[in-house]
Amino acid sequence: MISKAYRFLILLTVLVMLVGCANVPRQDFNKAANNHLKKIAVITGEQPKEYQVDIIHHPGLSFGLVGGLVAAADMASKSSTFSEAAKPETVGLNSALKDSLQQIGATNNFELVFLDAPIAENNGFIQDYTVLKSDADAFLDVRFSMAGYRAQYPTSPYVPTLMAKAQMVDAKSNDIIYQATLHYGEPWMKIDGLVHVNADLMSNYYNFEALTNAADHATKALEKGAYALGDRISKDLQ
Amino acid sequence: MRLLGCLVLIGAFLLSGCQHNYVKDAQALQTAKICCDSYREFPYELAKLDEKKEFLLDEKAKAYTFPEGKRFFRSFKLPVWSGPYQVTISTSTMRGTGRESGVIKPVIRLLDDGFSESRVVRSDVDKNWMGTHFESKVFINESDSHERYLIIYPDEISATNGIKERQYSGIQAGHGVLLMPVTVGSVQHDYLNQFAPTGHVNIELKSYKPRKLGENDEQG
Repeated sequence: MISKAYRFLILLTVLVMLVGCANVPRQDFNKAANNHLKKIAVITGEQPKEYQVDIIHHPGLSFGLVGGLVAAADMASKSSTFSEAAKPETVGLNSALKDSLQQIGATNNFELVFLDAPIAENNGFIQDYTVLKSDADAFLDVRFSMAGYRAQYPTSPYVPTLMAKAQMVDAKSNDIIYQATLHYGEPWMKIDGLVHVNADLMSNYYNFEALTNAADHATKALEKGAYALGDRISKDLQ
Repeated sequence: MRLLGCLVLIGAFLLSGCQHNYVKDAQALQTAKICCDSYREFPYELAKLDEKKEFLLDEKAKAYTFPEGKRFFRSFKLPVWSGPYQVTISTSTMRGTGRESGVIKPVIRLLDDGFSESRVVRSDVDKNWMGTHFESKVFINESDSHERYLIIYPDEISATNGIKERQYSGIQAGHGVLLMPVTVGSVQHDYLNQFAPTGHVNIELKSYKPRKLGENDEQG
């Protein structure tokens, strides 16, 4: 359990560092400049193995390192409890994302193929797409970097939250012709370049007990979020 | 007590600069003179590549009757085409003098070198982190190199129509802003972001140069 707590402390440190950083890379898709693309290979990475339950303004964070560890342990424990109830390995986040990305084929007249990607460290993008041995004109790589529920304060509702990153790489030129960091949920800080999709407000849970008790419904809300992110990527590529 | 009064007055004065009187601006638009007979007579300011301009489209701007109605506008001359570039236009929410807030829902008209219309771009709502803003992105590729002028103005104007928003308050944290939803008891506060006749507008012209895979990203 303590290692999970440390993991959460690191995550929180990264979040705090992001407040100072406050921008993410973005490359909009220039359709006219890429009209040679006919076949797109889509890679969706790994299904999240564990859900994350965060409280952004956890009271423990006001009490130094020890308080931070207490907060991290609390959130790690909540994450484990919710993950046990919701069983992320059985939930179709990737399926919902793939279903949604199918629209790219129809709206853009692209031929789409879905490829299994090699497992990458921290579910990161593939560094060399030639390993996939595909004849596609471009590779659309989409990865979840976070899935779970996030509350602003211990007394605020838990909101379904997903983070994903996407990039499309031209197979011939190796140009990154589309890149976005996407967030589904409730805004909690200003990040330039971030593509934000508002979460469905009907899927908020008043407290952690309500969230865990409604794990089935809560996971469906995450699938809905995954579909919404795929929908946004499809729109970006129009 | 006198000091407190002074502070309140100073605070009210500073806040008044951040607020917008939409009723007054709508009246100013009604009485504003039409500046020009055609797009050819518009005052065009030069927009440069890889430059960002931020401005307030207010009652001091020129007015013209567009197909959507009479509007305040800004007009720009685009650079001579030397390679593909992207024009991004965004508008952000501004508080009104009362409890209202507004945002320009922009229309972009692109004209060729003979001042004939070549494209009209309307904006989708793009939920950003700090309230709603509209964002329009348009690429000027070689096939569009004849497009030399750009006009920005509000599409729909309405005090009663707009976007229903969740209300957040921002707290400065480090170099960023943390957002908190505003609630009264357990009820989330919503507000109407009206389609305003005036407001903040950003225009940015950025060269289209996609990075190569493996190249370092300069952002973030």
